[in-house]
Amino acid sequence: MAGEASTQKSSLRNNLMVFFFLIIIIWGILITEFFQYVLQETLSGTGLDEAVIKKITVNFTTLSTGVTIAGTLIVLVIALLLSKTITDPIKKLIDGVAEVAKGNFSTRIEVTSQDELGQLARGFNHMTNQLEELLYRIEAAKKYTDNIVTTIPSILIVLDSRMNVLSTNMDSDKLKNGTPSIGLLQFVEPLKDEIKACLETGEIQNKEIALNTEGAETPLVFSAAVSQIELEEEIGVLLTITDITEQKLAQERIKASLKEKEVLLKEVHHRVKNNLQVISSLLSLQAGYVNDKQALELFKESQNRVRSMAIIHERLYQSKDLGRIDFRGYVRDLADNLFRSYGVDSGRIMLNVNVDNVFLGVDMAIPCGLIVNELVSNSLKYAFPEGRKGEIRIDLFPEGEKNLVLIVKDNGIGFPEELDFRNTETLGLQLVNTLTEQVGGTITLSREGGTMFKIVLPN
Amino acid sequence: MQKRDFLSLLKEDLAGLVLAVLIGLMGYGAKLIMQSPIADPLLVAMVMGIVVRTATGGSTRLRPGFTVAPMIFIPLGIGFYAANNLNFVKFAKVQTSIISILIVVIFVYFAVILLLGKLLGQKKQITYLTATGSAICGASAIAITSPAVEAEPDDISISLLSVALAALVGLFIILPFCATLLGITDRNYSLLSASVLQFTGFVKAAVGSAAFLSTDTPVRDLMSLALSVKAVRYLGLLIAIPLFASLVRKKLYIPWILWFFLGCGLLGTWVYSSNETFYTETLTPLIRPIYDVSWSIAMAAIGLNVDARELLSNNGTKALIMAFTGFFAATATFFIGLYIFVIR
Repeated sequence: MAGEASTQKSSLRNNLMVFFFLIIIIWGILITEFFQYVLQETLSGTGLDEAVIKKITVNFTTLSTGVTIAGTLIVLVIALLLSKTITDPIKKLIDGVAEVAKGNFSTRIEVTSQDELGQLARGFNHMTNQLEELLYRIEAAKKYTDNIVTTIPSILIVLDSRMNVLSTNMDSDKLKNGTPSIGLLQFVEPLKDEIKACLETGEIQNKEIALNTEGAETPLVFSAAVSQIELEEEIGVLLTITDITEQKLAQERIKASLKEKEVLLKEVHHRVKNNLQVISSLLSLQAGYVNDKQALELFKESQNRVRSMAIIHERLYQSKDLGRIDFRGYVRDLADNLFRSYGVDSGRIMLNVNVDNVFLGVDMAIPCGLIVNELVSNSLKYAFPEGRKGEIRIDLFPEGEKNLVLIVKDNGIGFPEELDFRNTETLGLQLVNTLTEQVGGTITLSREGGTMFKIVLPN
Repeated sequence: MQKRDFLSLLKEDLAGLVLAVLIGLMGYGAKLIMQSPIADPLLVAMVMGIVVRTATGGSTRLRPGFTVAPMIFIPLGIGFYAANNLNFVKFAKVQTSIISILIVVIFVYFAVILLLGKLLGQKKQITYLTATGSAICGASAIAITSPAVEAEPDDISISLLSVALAALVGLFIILPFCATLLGITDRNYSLLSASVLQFTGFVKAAVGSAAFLSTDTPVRDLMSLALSVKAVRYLGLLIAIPLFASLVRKKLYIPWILWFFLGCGLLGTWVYSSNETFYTETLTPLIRPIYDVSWSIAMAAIGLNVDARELLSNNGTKALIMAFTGFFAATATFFIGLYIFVIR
């Protein structure tokens, strides 16, 4: 640019000089010729001697042409100085612009004049100030981004639409496990389909791959996102590749730990069930020494209650999910156990279990199990006297999103009218009320067509 | 490239050609009307061409004609010009001392302008045309040399205008100042004009106005002396044309135009020797308007092809400096030569 300025085809200074030169020289010629003509015309009518006229003419010619030459030289010198005052600031501006074009934004032009050129120079200085500040900000932002890019524990690769690598932050430290620096194409090659899909759909693509390096496999997770290529209109792809060896190891450790805890929990449930089973067996043995029928009944009830809890622990350690049990299977086991315990013929009293696919946590399953145990026991004991036939129905289903409804119903002789089930002296119904209250549920009784307890439990 | 037939070429070139012919004729007409020796028809036609082009903006449709016109009319003019001016018998009659001064003046003209062209980084074609136009015979020399150095219209116009301006200043300011200051005779003033002024018309004008100096010699004799001396400068073309044509091509090159120029000159010399009266009274008045008109048309076409802004370019300024410096150096050389050969 500076070179261009000096080798330009035309310059203002030259034009000014030529202009002034032409004006003065044409003016000089015209004046000289005019005065010579006037002089000759004047002298020819005076009757002076021809030799004198010639001498005057010669002297005048010398004088007029001399004055023209001197005048031309003076005007040229003045023009030179004048043009310098005009062209020098312009030249400074041109040089300044050339410096800015080269990227030197610290260029400033000295301004002394208050005229249009001075304004232009001040405008130029203001512009370079702004440019310099802008550049500083851009550089700071770039440095900030570069720092992020270089310190990020992932490899970033920018590809153009033809999958040529344009830039990367890759170095050997980016891969953990001491994996040596790997050629960029090794990353790009296995991901070609995903990169293509990313370019075509514009959607972010993610994939987990294992890169084989010197016999060892490095697990990597990559994501491809469409990106604007720096300073170009073309769309490219930004690949982010992260070494997930550490995460994988941590994941495996967590899995192993979970497995271990699962085993331990199963063992706990097994032992609790065994202990409850032992208690049940002890009660059964102890009952063998009791002759009183009422006391024997109490033993049986206690044994059933223990058994209802043991079944929960048994089902827990047998299920895959240690936190919850399948309540349908549990209710059926529990009911079968009660039928056996009370020696009820399933031909006489039919059991109908309608439990939806409901899974309950231990906190809910134990009270529910005990409630079902008490209500079914009551039905078996009192609803069908004297060998009556009938049906016991157990329903459990969700009501809305927040509640579970448990219905235990029989078509027996019905709950005695004079009895308030909330204020009885029997332990069974007291337990039912207490447990319902404990889990935050409500209980209602219907005597229509037998006895029906409806318990609404929070899910 | 597909060859185009003559008719399509003519159709393409005709409009521009007709305009150039019209302006060329107007330039020659201006000379006849003004009856002034300084109204050089070539210069007038070219200036008119530049004015028309600048005023109209220049039509691309006419340009082919402007390019063709100089190719036709310059060689035509060269033949007639040589027959009229390259008269070897007349050259032989010029005094040896004057020829010596002329040789030195021409050499100084060439040397100074070529050197300045080199120092200023001037375009070669402009340098060569300015040197030839200054040292030999103004517009005519530029017209003859331009095809040999493959000059463009801009080169020709820049050179011609620079040489014309230097000649104008020389005629009206420098030469009268030097002549009256140094007190030279009208004969020496005629010799000075013939040796350093670029245009033949300007030489005539200078000699015509020399009456204010001493009147030892009749104006008619002074004019005859000046024109015979000026004619000797035409011989410089025999060196300038092959020299500059070879320098442009960087190899020895003698253009056909030189042989044509020399042949026509020899033919004219033979006619002059055989029948001087016929040559002077019949042939010269007949062929002179032919080359004047031919070159006026060519110069008009060159002017029509010129971008006026080029004249204000750095090349224009450099050409002006070269033409003026060459003129001052040649004038100084003449005075030194005059002192050595004549006055002493």
